[in-house]
Amino acid sequence: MNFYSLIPIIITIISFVVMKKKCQGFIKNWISGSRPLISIHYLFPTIFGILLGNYIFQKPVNYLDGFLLICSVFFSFQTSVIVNDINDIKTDKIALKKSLLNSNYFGLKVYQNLGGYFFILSLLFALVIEYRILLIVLLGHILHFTYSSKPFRLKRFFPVSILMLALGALLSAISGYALFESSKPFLSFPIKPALFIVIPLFLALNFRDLADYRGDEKTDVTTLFTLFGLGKGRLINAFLVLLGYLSVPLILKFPPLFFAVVPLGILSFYFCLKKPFKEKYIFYIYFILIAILLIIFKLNPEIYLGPVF
Amino acid sequence: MRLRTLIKRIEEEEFSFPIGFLSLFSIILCRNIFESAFEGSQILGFSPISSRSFYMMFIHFPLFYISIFLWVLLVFILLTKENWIKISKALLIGMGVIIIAPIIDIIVSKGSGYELTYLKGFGEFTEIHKFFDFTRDLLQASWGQRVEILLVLTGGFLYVLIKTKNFFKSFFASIIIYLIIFLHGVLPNTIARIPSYLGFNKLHFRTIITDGILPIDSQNYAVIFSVSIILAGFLICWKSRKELIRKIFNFKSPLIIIPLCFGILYGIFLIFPYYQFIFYSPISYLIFLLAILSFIFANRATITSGNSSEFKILITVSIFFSIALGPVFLFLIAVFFLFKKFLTTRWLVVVPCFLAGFSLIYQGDTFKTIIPINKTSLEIKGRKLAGWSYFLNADYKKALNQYLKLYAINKEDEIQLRLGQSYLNLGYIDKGIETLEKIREPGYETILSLGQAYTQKGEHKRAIKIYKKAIEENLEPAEFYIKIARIAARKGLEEEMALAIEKSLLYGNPAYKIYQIKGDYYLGKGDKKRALGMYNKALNYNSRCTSALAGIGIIYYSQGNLPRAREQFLKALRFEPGNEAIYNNLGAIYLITKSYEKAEQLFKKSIKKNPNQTEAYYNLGLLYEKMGRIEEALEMFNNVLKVNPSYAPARRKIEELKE
Repeated sequence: MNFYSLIPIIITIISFVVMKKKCQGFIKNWISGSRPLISIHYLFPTIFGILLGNYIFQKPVNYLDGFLLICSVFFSFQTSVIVNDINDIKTDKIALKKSLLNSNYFGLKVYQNLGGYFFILSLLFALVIEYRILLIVLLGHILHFTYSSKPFRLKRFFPVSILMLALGALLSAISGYALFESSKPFLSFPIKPALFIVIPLFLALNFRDLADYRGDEKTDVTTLFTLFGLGKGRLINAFLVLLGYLSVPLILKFPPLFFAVVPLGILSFYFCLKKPFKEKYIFYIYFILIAILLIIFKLNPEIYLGPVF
Repeated sequence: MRLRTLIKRIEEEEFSFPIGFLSLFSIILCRNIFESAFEGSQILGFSPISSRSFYMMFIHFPLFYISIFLWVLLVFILLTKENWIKISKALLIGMGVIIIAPIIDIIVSKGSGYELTYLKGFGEFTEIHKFFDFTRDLLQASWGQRVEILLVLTGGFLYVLIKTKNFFKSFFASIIIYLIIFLHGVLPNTIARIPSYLGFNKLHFRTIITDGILPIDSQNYAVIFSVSIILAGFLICWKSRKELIRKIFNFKSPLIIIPLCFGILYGIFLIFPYYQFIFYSPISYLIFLLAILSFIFANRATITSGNSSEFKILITVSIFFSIALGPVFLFLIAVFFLFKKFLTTRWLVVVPCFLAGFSLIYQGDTFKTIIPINKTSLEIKGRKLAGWSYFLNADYKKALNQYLKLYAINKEDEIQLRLGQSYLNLGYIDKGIETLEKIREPGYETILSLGQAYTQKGEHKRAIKIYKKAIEENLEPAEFYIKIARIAARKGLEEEMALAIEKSLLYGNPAYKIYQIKGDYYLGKGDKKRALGMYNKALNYNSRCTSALAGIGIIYYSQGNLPRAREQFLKALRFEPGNEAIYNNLGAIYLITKSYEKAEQLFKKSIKKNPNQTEAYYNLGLLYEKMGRIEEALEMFNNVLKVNPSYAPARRKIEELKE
C-alpha cells in the first residue's frame, strides 16, 4: 500500500470530524442536500468502468485504488452540486426547490468554501491514484463548471445540457476503466459501452428538469418542459424515458433484456406522468435496471463488447 | 440582426474576473486534455506525470492561448473602439471554438487518434499562403486545427463587421488574427534561433528551445508566452487603463530589483566555469526580464486591496509567471509577498529577492549551492547544463566528455542515461548498452534507448524482452506493445506480432499503426499486394502515416517504378523531415539513376540524422565505390561494422576492395 494513498483519506476523516464538532447537524444537512440518489447514479458508471477494465485486461482489481476513485468521483459530484446551487439561487427560490444554500444552513461564503474544499479533495483522491486519472476527474469538473456557471452556463441550452450530463456519466465510466488502462483510455474505451451509457441517459435524463420548471421558465433556461410547455413536455419526457429503457437491449444487441426493460420502462413512464412528480421512484426503477445489468455482466461480459453495427 | 442581439447578450452577461478567468482556463484545459488524450502518439501532457507533462498541461499551453486571447483582444479594441470588458466577454465565449479541433480530428481519424505537428520556425512563414489551399497538407495542420482557425477568423470578421459595419476593417481583422495565431506558432523556435539568424553558429542552436538554464523545454515556451502576455497586456492597458500602468510601474524601491539582479549575476558567476552558454540563448534574457516583472507585479499586489480585481489579476499573473520560472522561484516570490505584507522590517525582502535571482540559474539546487562550500554541487549543475546543451545540439563527443566527467563524481540515473545515450549516438553501442543496463530504476526513456540499441545490434529477442519487462511493470504498455509488434513484423515472427497487435489494440493504439506494421510484415515476406493493401488502410486512417508512405515507396522501388517511389518518399519527408530512413531510400533512388551528387547529399543527411545506422553508411560506401573513391568507401564500410559488427555485406565489400 502506498503511503500517499492514505493522505486524502486521513484529511477527509479529520476534516469531517472537525466540521461535525464545529457545525451542529453538518453531516445530516449535507447528506440531505447533496442529492444522494443522483450521487449514487454517478457512481454506477465508475463501478461499471472498473468491472469492464478488469474483464478486458484480465488484471486484478486494486480495491484501494477503486475506493479512492469512487471517493474522487463522489466529491467531484458534490462540488458540481455546490457550483450548481450557487448559480441557481434565483431559480431554486422561484421553483421552491430545497438546496443547502437556500435552506439557510450555510451562508454563501461558507458554501463556496465547502465547494472549494470538495474540489481539492476530489483532485487529491484522483492524484494519489494516477496523474491521468486526475486529468479525467478534472475534465469532469470542467464539464460541470461550464454546465452550471456563467459565462457558458450550458444548462440553458437544450439538448446540450442533457448531452453534457450523459457525457459526465461516460467520463466517470472512463475514469474507472482508466484504473486498468491509463495511457489511452479515451481511445481504448470500447464503443458499445460508451453508447450504452450515453444514449439511454441522453434520452432519459430530462426528468431532472421537471422540478425546476418554474425557475427555469423565469430565468431563461431552455429545457424540454420550457420548450414544449409543462403538459406536452411531461408526455414527451415520459416517452423519452421509455425509449431510453428500450434502447439498452438494442445497443447491447441482447433481446432477452426486453423482458426486463419493457416493464421497467412502462413503470418509469407511469411515474413520469403521475402527479405529484416524485423523482425518487424514477431512480429506484433505474437502480433495478442497473442491478440487472450488473448480473448480466457477471454472467456474460461479452454482451457489453463487440461491434455496435 | 440576431447575431447582433446575441453578442449584446453576451457582452451584458455579468460575472466576476475570477469566474471569467476560470472559464477561460477551463476551456484551455479541456482542449489540452482532449488534444493529448485523443492523440495517436504520446508526446503531450497525457503522458505519465512528469514535470514536463505538468508544465505542458497547466502552464505552457494555457499561456499560449491566453497570449493569443490578449493579442486578439487588443486588435478588437483598436478596430472597434469598444469597451475592453465587453470585448473580453465576447472573446471568452468565442474561445469555446478551441475545443472543436481535437473533436474534429478524432472523427476524421475514425476514432483512431491522430498525430499533431507544430510549426518549427520563422522559415515556415514563407508557406503561410498554403494554409488556405485545401488541396495541400497545409503547414501540416490537422483538419481540426484548420477548421478551428477558420472559425476564429470568421468569428473575428463578423464581430468587427457588426461593431464597425466596415467590411475592410473586418477583413483586416481576420488577416491580423491569422497572423497572430501563425506567429504564436513560430515564435518560440524563431526566438531560439535568433543567434543563428545573426550568424552566430558556434553552437548551431538547432534545438535550443529545449535547451538553457530552465530544466524543462515547456518552461522556455512558457517564458516566451509570458513575455508576450505582458506585452499585450501592457498595450491593452495603455489603450484602456493607462492609470493601471502608471500604478504598477510607479516603482521606486531599489530593494527588489537590485538584489534580484545581484542574485542572477552571482549565479552566473558560479556556474560560468562549467557552463558558458547562458548569454548565447535569447531565452535567458527573457527569463531575467520575466523574473524582474514578476517581482514588480507581486510588489504591486502587496499594496493593493485584496478585494480589487487589480489585486486578483496581479496575483494570478505573478503565480503563473513564477511557476514558469520554477518551483523554487515560486516559493521565494511567495516568501517575498508575505515578508512585504506582514513584516515591519522592510529590508528583509532583500533575501528572497536575491535568492530568487540565484534560483533562476540553480533551480532545485539553489539552497545547496548558494554558499559554495562544496564545489561538487556547482560542478554537477554546470556540467549537466553544458552536457545537455551539447547533447541537444547533436555534438555528442562534447556531450560525452561532459557526462564522463559528471559520471566520475555522480552516478545518478539521469547522468547514466545521458551518458549511455551519448555513447549510442556516437555509435558505441556496446558501451551504451552497458551504461544503460546499470541504471537502477530504468524509466520510459531508458527502456526506449535500450530497446533501440538492442534492435540496432540485431539482438531483437533481447529488445523484446526489455519491452516486455517494462509492460509487466505497467510502464506505457501501449507504446511497448507496438514496439514489440514492429520488431516481430520485421523479423517475420507472425505469432509474436499478432499477439502484440492484439494486446496493443486493447490499449487503444491507433488503427493506422497496426495496419502499417502489418504492411511491413507482408513487405518483409515479399507479399507486395497485401503489403500495399495494408499501407493503404493505414493511410485511410491517417493520411500522414510516413511509414506507410515510405512502405509504398519501397514497393514501387522494388517494382522499378522509380518516379512514383521518389514521389512517395518526398511526400513522407514532408510529414517527417527528420526520418533518416527516408533520406536513405531517396538516396538509393538517385544512386540507381546515377545522380551521384544528390545521392551523396541524401546519404550524408541520413547519417547526420542518425549516426547509428548501417544502411546509409553502406549505401554511401557503394556510392563512393562507384565513384572510384575507394578510401572513403572503405571508411564507410568500416563504419557499418562499427555499428553492427555482424553485417556481412559490409565485411564482404571490405575484403573485395582490399583485394
